[in-house]
Amino acid sequence: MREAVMSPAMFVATSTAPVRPAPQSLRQEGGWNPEDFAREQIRGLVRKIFFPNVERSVSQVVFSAAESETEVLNLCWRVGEALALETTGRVALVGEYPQALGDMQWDAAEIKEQSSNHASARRRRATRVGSNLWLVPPAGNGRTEVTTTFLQRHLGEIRAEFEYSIIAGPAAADSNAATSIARLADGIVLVLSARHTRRMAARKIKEKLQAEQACLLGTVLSDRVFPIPERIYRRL
Amino acid sequence: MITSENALPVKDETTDKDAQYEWAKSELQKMQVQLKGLQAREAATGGQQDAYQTLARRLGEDAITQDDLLSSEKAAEDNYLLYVKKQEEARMDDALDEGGIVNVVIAEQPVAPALPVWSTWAVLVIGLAAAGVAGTGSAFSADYLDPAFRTPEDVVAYLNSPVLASLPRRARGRLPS
Repeated sequence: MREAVMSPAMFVATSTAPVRPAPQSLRQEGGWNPEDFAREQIRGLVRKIFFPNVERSVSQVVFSAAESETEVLNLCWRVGEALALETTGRVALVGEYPQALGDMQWDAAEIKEQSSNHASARRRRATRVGSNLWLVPPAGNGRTEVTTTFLQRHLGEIRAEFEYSIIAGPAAADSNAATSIARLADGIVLVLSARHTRRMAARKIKEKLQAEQACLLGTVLSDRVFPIPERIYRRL
Repeated sequence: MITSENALPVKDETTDKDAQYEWAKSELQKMQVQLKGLQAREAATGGQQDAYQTLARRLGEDAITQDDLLSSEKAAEDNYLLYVKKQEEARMDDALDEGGIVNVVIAEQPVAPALPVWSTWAVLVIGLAAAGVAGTGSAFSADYLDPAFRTPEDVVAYLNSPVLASLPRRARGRLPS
């Protein structure tokens, strides 16, 4: 019931940071559409995190779900896409993305050409999926045990090679890995699933992050349900 | 008169048959025959009367016996009903004792009323109102007691952390395939 009175416009970003103008596809007028709404939300998230009004430099962010059932890889992908549209800097998506994804999105010949000219070894291991968007395998490349030193070096290399990096971290409730990555990165965004993530679990995660002195940049509430039909919602 | 008769000379008069005498004689004979029949009938009727008297006497005795039996039956029925009532009261007393209720008696036997106490419309309106109140209360209770996040306001209020984005379920986005 409380969801019904909220307007999607409440969540649209209001940042005035100097960024690229929004593509035409993001400026669609008319009725409320979940896809457009989500796109605007992610664009606002990018502006709030990476281009805030205050003096704060955030370039490496971890997205971590509160529970393992909540999906963050798609969210990171969309955030990376939005960030790549907002800036001309190189954006790295760190996570276990399908390898075939990069081959389908970008011409492999162009990757070889550009990487042979000026890219480092780190970027050669990455897969380019856009003009300034790259897929980077996670630390340890899928291994379960990764030392903090290795993780620190890995994130440092990513930070050195890419202006922005978005890390799809593990679930925060399952282990301390998300907290460790958040401590090494500039901050963490906690992804909560509406109607699924319990308040107490989220509070414990926040307390754990605070105890480890990790910077909680904010939260993302996914899987929201708008019980009022769209036709009625448009008239409100 | 006798003297006068004696003084009269004897006269012998011969007459023809006297019709009246003959009629009286025949009537006398008929009456004698009728008398005998009536006497025989009297004898027969007397026997029947004796039989009827005997029967009546026996019926009288039977009636008395019947009255005695009816009285005994009525007394037995009353005793039976009394015992049944006592038994039912004893059973109710036992049941009340088992339930912890004592000294309870029926002050007035229940009687089904001829008309309903509540009209159909009153019951319908009250039922609808109660259902509405209960349903609304249940919805608010479920919403209040739900331990999961639902809205960004929930997150901000509980975690005191900004909500950077709120994504609908149908628009989560998918990796290009």
